[in-house]
Amino acid sequence: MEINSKLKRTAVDALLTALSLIIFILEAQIPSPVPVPGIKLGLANIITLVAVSLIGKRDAGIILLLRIILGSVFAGTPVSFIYSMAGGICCYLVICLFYRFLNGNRLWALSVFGAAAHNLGQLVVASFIMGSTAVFWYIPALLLSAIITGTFTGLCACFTINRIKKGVIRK
Amino acid sequence: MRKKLFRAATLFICHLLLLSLFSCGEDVKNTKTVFAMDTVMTLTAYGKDTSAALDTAAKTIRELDKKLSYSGKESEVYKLNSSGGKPVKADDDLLTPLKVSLDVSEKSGGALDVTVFPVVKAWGFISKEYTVPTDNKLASLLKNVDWSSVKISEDSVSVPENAEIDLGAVAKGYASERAAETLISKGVKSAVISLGGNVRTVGTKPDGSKWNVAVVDPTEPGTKTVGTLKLGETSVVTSGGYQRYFEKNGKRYHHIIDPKTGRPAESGLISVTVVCDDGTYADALSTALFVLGLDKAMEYYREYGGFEAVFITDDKKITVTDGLVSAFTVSDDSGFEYAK
Amino acid sequence: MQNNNAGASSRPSNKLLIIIISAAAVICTAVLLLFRFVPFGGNVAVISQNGKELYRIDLDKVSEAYTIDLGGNVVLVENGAVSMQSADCPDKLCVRQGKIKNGSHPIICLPNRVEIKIENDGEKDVTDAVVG
Repeated sequence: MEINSKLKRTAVDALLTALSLIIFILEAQIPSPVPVPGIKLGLANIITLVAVSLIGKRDAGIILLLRIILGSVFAGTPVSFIYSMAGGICCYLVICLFYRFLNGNRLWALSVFGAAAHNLGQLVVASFIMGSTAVFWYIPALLLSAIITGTFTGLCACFTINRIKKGVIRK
Repeated sequence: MRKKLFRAATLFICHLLLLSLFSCGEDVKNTKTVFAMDTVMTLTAYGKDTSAALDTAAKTIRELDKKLSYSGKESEVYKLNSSGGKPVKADDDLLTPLKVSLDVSEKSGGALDVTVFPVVKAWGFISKEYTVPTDNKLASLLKNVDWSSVKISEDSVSVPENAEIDLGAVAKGYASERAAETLISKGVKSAVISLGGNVRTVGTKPDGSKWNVAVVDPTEPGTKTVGTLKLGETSVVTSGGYQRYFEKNGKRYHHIIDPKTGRPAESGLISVTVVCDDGTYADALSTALFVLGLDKAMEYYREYGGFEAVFITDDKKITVTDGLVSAFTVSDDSGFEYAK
Repeated sequence: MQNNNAGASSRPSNKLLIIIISAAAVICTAVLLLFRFVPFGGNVAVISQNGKELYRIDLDKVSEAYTIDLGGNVVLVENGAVSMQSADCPDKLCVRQGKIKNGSHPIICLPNRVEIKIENDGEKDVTDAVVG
């Protein structure tokens, strides 16, 4: 699946950015079921995975970056922007690094690794901001949550990609 | 095949999620406060599901309070005192503390005496209307003070018509022992029963280390401690004149009456802390040793043993028996020091 | 799903991934359970903000519950436990964490950079009972 024309690429990127932004803002309205900072579903990550699989790493990176910036403007604070950025960059790097091995039906595992990297990245930033290492007590909780939510978002991404490939959305 | 694997993974992770939810909300330490035997008692048990055991232990203590009190309808002691000298049927809850008390009376040469109760009453320590009895009154009351006049058979006790007994010196110790038994039988592995001057520990701390039991500073009982004892499962009881006293004409009269003189014991000791595996003995001994004074108490220790003790004399010196040397630590700023 | 054309040997099988990730999940759960059920001991609540220690409270010596206002966050100190009573942060996760005792998990309010943790006062041993 290639997108040749510049215009088309801009349009698709914008569409996916808007989608992920909507998902992100909607998710921010759902109160976290677990009282541990940093634990959330991370549904917006579905878009990142879809983008990486269908239109490439570069555009996925641009979409992610735009989503983080706009998401913080619409539904965040300067502090939450730093956390989102740290988590997003870590997640993106891990996804790019492992995509070669974990595409297709292994995407759920890629999603788990991405989510874990996201959480750990945020944790490192949190320990810097808090000036404390106590936050690392949250590692097991955050990893477990990454496995659960990562699997879920990864499976969602898989199904979405299949749908798109079956021709729901054509070139 | 692929779908199956996905499903298995999802199912597995759902189970994990449930499991982690289960691990929420659970108590590690339970406490119960009971007011009985004229004092506030605190029972603390570690581990979840220990609160029911604490309730049972509190019930045990309240029942014993009624049985062993000197007054009241259900009081075995009252029945005994008003029996007119005839033998009265008695159960273990009366016999055990009484036997311990009489045993210590015998070994200490009467430093502890259950029949000293009329004298204690004359001083007003029971009614809280404190007076200093006249010498004549004390002399006449002391005629009937004799622990050996109390006769015990297998299941009955007799007290002479003109005598009156009170188990105040051992009741709390016995109650702590029974409360500990109750907790242990309910599966509690780690608990502290604190009945005023009596502390009974069960097991060790949850992390396996020893309990820290602080000994009150007799000169400043409300605020300071003299030192700390590191102990496993045992009983600790402190007796001291500071625990209950009144002042008249500038003189202080405390509640531990020497059965020989009928007056507050003046032995040079201001507090005696006894550590003994049996709470009833610990309670009885702490009173008896306080009356005996340091030298005679050490004689008692060497002759009979079976316990350890911390003695504090009125010159702010501490004497610790051999078995407690490593367990006892003096507080840095207490102003107390070891006797030579 | 497409995976038939890729070099299957160089990529981990789905089965292997499931095993690895499940194992990681089991380990995380075990560690979490360990945190929850094994009392780590400790009786001293340490409250810090911006990485600076503000209060150090022996929770066993608290006779009556009281609150500490940190401006934004209000900490409730009770006998043997400490919790965040209220906070002006948007998510209020710190409040929802409830009381912490001798367990290990600290309460952390990321937006306000407040941290409450339970420590063992190594120098002074806790007194379990007072006799006298």
